Amino acid sequence: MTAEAAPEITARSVPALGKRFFARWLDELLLGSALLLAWLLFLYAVGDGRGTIDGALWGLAALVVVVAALYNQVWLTAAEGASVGKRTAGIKVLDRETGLPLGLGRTVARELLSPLAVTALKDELGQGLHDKVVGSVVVRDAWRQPELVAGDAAAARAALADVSPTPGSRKPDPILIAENISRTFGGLVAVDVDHLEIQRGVITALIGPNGAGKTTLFNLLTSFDQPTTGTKAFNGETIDDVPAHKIANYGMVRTFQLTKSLSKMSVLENMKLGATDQKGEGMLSALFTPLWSAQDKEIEERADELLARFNLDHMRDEFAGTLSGGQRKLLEMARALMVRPSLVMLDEPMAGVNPALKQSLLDHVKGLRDQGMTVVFVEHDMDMVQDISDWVVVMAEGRVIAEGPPTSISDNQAVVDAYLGAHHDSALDLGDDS
Amino acid sequence: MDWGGILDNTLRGLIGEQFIYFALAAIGLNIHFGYAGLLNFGQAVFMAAGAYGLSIMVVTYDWSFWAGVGMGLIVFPAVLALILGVPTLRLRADYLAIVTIATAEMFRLIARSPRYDWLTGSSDGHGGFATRFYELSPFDPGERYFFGLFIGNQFFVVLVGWAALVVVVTLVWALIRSPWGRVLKAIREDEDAARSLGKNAYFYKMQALMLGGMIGALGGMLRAIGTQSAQPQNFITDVTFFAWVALILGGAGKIMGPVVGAALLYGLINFTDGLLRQLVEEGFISESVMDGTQVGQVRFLLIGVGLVALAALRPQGLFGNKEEMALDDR
Amino acid sequence: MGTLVVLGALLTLWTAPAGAQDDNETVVGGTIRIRAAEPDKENTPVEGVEITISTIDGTEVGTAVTDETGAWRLVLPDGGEYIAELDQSTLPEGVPLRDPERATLDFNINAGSSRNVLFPLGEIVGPESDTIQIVQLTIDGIKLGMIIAMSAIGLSLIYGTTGLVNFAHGEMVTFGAMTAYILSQYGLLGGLIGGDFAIQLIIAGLLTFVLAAVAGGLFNELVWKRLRKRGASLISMLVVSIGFSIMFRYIMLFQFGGRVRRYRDYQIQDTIDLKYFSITPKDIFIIVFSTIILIGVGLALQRTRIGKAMRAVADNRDLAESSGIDVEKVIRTVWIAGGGLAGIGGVLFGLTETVGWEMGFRLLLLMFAGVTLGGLGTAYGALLGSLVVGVFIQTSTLFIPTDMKNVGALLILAVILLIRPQGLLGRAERIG
Ligand SMILES: Nc1ncnc2c1ncn2[C@@H]1O[C@H](COP(=O)(O)OP(=O)(O)OP(=O)(O)O)[C@@H](O)[C@H]1O
Ligand SMILES: [Mg+2]
Repeated sequence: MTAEAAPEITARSVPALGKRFFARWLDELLLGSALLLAWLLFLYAVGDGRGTIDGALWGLAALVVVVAALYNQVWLTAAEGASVGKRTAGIKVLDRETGLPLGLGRTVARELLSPLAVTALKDELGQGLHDKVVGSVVVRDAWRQPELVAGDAAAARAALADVSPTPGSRKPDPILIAENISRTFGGLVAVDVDHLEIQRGVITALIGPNGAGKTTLFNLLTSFDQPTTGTKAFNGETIDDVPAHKIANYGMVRTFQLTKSLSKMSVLENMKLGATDQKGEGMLSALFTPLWSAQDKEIEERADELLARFNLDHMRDEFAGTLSGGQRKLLEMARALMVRPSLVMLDEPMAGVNPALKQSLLDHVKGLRDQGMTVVFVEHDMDMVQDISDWVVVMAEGRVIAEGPPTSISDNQAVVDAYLGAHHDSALDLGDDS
Repeated sequence: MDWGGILDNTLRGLIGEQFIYFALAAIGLNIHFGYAGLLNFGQAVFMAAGAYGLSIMVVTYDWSFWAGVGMGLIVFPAVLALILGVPTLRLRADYLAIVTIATAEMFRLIARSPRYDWLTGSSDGHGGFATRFYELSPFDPGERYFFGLFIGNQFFVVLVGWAALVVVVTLVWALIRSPWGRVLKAIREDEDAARSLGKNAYFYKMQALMLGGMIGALGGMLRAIGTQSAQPQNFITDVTFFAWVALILGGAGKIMGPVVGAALLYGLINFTDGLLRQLVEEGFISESVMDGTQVGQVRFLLIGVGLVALAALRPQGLFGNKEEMALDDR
Repeated sequence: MGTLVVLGALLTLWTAPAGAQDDNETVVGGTIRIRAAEPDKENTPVEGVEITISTIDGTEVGTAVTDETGAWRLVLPDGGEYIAELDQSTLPEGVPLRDPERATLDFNINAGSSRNVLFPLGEIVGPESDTIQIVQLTIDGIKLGMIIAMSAIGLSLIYGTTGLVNFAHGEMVTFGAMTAYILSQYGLLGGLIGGDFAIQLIIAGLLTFVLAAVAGGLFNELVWKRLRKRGASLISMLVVSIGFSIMFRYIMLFQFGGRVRRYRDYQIQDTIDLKYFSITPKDIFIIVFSTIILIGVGLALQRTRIGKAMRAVADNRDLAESSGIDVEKVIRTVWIAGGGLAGIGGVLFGLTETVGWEMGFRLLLLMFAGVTLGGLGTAYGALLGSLVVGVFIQTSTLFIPTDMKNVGALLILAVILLIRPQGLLGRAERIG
């Protein structure tokens, strides 16, 4: 299968320069002044409401509306161009700094304008992404774990054999698709990925120099951060509007580069937390122990099994805070598996783990794939990448600069340039990297 | 020196009404801070929600006592938690701290404003809403009970308070040992980790804010019943700080922490208060150093000192485990 | 506990006679004043108003007449329920009760206690138009905003550089106001130097700045630095700051008593009437003085080495540290400068209102509003946010009763958090 060109979405063409300017200063000052101005104007307009509570309430209401309208509608919409249209493509328009949805005024306007926008958008998108992702939404029970199909290394590589080793190439059976995902912090473009597909049932390594945007991409894909532009789909379903805490229920779980062990809980409790759909997690049902005790026991057994597999069983009842750095990495990975995910995203899972244990972890990761899970992991150790990954994606300065089987990566000129700077002409011996 | 009087006072502090009000407030805070990691510095306004919820319904709207209790225990604190939580629970913990302390102050300003006299009775507040409660008392208002520590009505309040304490502590214990409590603790430790494992941190925090607020409201309501008045100055910000001291004294994140803390706090306060008063009266402390009215101020001062010393030197509480606290260094 | 020694030393300076109080009399009293149309200006006392107290069954107990300060007082025979009636015919022309229905009030009093009964007077309907009022209130708002800003910059920078939300910052404001008050009590500001009040104020301001800066520096050195060294968590530090807030507040109450004071030398000033608003020389001074200081602070942050270092540390502490900035030194400077600014803020706040033990705590809430509005941790944000809060508070009195103007400010804070959680100038944090 050959790669086709990624569909063009023109709505993406945001006036970047103007935006940066607005984003840093003007925007903020304008909000401040708009706030005051609105208030003062209002005082003139409804001057005789003074001294009454009604006056105050109306004043406040008017203030909120004016500010929201001014800020959200005029300034940001102007700055972000066709954002109303993007929204209906499943691209949520969010505050670039906070990742929160924009306020009241915009929401109202958006809802009013969206019928127009949909028509415009259909023309714009044609048969591209819209049909593939939005048009074929699979309504599925979010709580049901997707069935895993067991596989092995040979099958995984075979599936990828026909895929062209170019950035943004199409995979035969993608579990995760990112389209036009970008994220800017102030003026810095941390991530700007045109198109990326992750093949189901294989181990994909995500590599790149420090600051390439790997962690940011993880955040975007798992909804921990909201993209400035772009859309993403999991199992053929858009997950743009899915908040981070629901992602796990879809069968996608991630770990963090800076380990997040829950220090003042025991290792076992850490593990048990990972199980989804627990009956005792509701406040009322929690009060009736019989409702959840059986399930809790099951979960505990599963947790013990995993702990044993990760060599943590002797620490079972200790506080997680007492674990060593490497052990915490293990715990976090084991905890993620408690979710029973179909896609595991590991952010530098092996950093700080001793070589012997690393080897056994590698086997675990391979084992996960063989059970049918899809694994994406970030790693700087090229030996390890060569050893276990079936596919490698290379990022630099926010972009995907290369993709391909592990063997093809080390002599890719773009990758060499990214790691060592341009004008370096020898092939990169990435294997010595660690 | 009247040592007997001082002793009586101290005992009353250890088990009496003040202890009960603040133990409940501190249990609420324990849910907020000790288990969910929420920085609520407006527990006073939750207490006020309980007190005014009852008094407004009964005095202003002529509802029955029990309907008022329902409003003050459930509806008022729940609405308040929504108002406080919706804008802040998605943000960093400091924001909740600022918004809660501001709201508590805001409430006090509104409650004592003559403009809302019709609703809240302004600075005099409300009284006479607890008649129904005292009608139920089996004790003779004129008699003294429990080694002469409490008069009849007081004793009734104390007994009801203790019963409420037992129920609340059991409830909290049951909740915390359940998977619900596990999620809450996980959110306290690291919200992002909890979210990555599929827990809706915002929702749980809101639940915790409500539950802790309702327990605080129970404390505030009992206080209003016990003093037979709901007044703005009973819910100043320092009241929140008292509850915090009780919590930190006993140890946050422990079921019995706030209860022990509140008992110790009021035992100590009443003891120093009584002692100082005696010393002033007997002339051991001269009028130029301190007079009667200033004794009350010294109590606050000591609370400040205690809070500083505790939080700086023993952040785990008097009985807490230092090792466990050290796990906090992230 | 070196802190306590220092505190003690400061306190001995501060010992003021505590008002003696007769505990045994049952007293009812109050003050009748015309509320100034302009908020925070002095109210005008009304003399010669008669208030009659009778028991609940109608027996007259006595009549009190207000004196030149508008105060009245009557000793009652016993506790119980009474009725107070204000004789409306003794009120001056054009000065009605705010609520004429409430000329007769019931009250309860315990034997041996004293109690206030209030008869609020309405505002005199002035000839001023709304336009004039809005200009006037906006100017008042800017003044208040600048005071908040001055006090809050330290709060925001301390948060930015150390992550600590310093609840004791309000007490640093009170410290400034009280210090200036003591200086003026010792005649330092009036009699000793004499001369123009602006000069006195500048001297008071500078002296207070120095003392408050030293206090801020010591506070950091003796408490916060040690806690940071010990690796205390931010939350326990926050609780420590609350403890200090309570402690300082009640030390001040203990020393000064609950009554509020005014600076002796600048109580009464003629207002200068400009076309759209009127202003006292005092207010002009406050605005000019604080503008100069705020511009100075802005320039210092922008231009000087240490100012840049402060912003760098506030922006990204680790990065700043690894690029060779001495973070502890920056933090020390922030505490010293923040303390000094809060001190001056206190002097100015005391000038516009009154000096009292709780003034800083009241201002703290407005500082929080301003700082949060502007974005926690940013210096310019604190400035902008505080100005917005100040203007909003004052102009909102057109709509809401003056005693509730701060409520509006806090409400607007909540609204802003909903629309723009990181504040006007703040930035979101990194995840993962
Ligand atoms: N919240 C944020 N605010 C501002 N800049 C950010 C934020 N998060 C990430 N960045 C910037 O985005 C860029 C990409 O960061 P990211 O953490 O994704 O890199 P990375 O590829 O994971 O690097 P590493 O291999 O070191 O982990 C960096 O320049 C970083 O400074
Ligand atoms: Mg990273």
